[in-house]
Amino acid sequence: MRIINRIAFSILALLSFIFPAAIASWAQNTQPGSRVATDRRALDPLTPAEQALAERIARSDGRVKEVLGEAGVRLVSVIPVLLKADVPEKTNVAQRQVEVVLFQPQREVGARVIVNLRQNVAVAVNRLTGDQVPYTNDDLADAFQLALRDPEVVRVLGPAAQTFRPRTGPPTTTAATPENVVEGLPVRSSDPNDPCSKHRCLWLMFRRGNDYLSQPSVTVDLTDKRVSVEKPVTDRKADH
Amino acid sequence: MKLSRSATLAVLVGFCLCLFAQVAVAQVPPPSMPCSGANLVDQKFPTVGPEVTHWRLCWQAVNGNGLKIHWAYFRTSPAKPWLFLLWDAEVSEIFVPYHTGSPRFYDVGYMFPLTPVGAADCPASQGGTVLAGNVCLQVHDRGLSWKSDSQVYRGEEIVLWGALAAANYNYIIEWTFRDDGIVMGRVGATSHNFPGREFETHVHNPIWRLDVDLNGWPNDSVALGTHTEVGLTGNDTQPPIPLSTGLLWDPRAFNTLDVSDKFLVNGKGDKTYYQLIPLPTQGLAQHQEAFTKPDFWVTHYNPAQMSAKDLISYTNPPVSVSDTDIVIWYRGSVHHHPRDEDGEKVGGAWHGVALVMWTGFMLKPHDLFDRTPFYP
Repeated sequence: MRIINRIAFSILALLSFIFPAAIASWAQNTQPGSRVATDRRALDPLTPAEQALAERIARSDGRVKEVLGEAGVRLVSVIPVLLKADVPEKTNVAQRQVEVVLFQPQREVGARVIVNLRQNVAVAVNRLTGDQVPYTNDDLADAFQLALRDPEVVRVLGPAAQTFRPRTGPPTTTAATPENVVEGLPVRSSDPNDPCSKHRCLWLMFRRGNDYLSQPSVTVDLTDKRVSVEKPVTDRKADH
Repeated sequence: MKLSRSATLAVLVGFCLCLFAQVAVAQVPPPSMPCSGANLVDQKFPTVGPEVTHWRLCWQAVNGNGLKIHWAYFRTSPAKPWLFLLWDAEVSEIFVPYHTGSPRFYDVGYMFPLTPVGAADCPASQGGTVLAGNVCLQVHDRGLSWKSDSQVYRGEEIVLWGALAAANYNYIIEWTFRDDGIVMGRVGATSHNFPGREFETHVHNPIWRLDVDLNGWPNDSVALGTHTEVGLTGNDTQPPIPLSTGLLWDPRAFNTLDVSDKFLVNGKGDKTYYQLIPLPTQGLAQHQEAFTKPDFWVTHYNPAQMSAKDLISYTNPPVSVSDTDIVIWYRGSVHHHPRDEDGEKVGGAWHGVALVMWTGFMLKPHDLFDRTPFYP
């Protein structure tokens, strides 16, 4: 009997050590550190359906229509955002709020709209001036179309002018055949006499495969729809 | 079969003791985060062996700003609570004026995407993991943490980076979270010189917006860490910054922006703060534009104030930034004087790349630990 007692005692003692350890191990493995995603969180990337829904809600909001009108309104960005509560503990980390930025290029006015995807409503709308709205591939396409109407741009680009396309996505590392793409950078003048000190202006760059053409250097004033082509810099190191 | 009463008691006591021990080891539960999956980084240090320190944070790829950090928590030991450090951190603008006065580019003003990142950018042999196809997470050795004669400790760090495809330039936006609680932000400018002005000197000025919320967002204040010397005597002071403003960085005064929380002290009762320390590689520029005159800015948190080029309006009129929710800003500079190494003209096009040129800053804890946990 005493031997049986000792064996039983040993087994129970062993279990008493193993059982809590197993529980703790299970608990640690189920902590977020193991990178297991069980639900959607506030800043998780949007699905295409969520993006489309957020854009639709923003565009249909009365306050947005009042600011932008309805025709010709462009989408600038749709990103998930997290709004601050009073203290960290009160912040809802599972909220699905989305910032939608829209732009009306003819009037050069934009709107920043916060959309609550759980409630399907726009919870805040802020008016943006033209200089507060980031440039997009739509602006680049506009600028390029204007540039193609400029005889000097067409002359410098030569017969290849019509083969250039605005870059629309992330660059590819190595294309099988060199692509002719045009890219743009936002530019703003510090000279108050230059319209680009106030207007929305893009500087265009022309790329053939991995290399950039030195010419033409083109600035497009999207506000005034004007194109200017810079004269080439001839001396390679005289300009710095 | 009956167990003796003492054996039963011994088993019960053993069970309870062991359960309590395991609960104690189970540590403070991790904070709930606003991200999951690949966007959540949860890393203990050292990477091998029992935990000493721990980072937990979110990242987000945002067109325009590139790689953004959200909700960075740090824990100084498994028994200590998680410390909230960053609400978010981002590159707010990259301003690039050319020497002839024009053009003057605002490279974050376009919704540029991140470039693709693959195994060649982010090799597993360097501790790399490619996230979402455009961000690299590296967890690796960071060199000597300390050395004392024959004793030595090598530190480790997490590095998250993505590269903004800003037309002819790529900007590598890098965030580092070290085992000792230090956060570093860097921007590296690389790729092709400006078409048509390939040899014109210019400056890339990344301006970081850092919503440092030490111990949460209420009750934070900022002071200007300042070193002075009179005769043979040096003196360090921390004059508080009461109102939102822009400030110059004086390297000879070892200026830092020191962010503290009204209630946060370490185990010795010393006030904890995080110091923003510039890490310029050449110097810091000032340009015609008013927002480039100061190197540091301190503003009150406002979710609509995200644009560095509008900092003048954010600080006019000045508002109190004492014991409240603050945001700090810092502008670094990369002075790019083109060189033959950058490339050459071939058939009317520029062929070549400018090698990466870096600038950045450090957020360094002061009196966060009671003493370094990495010394035996």
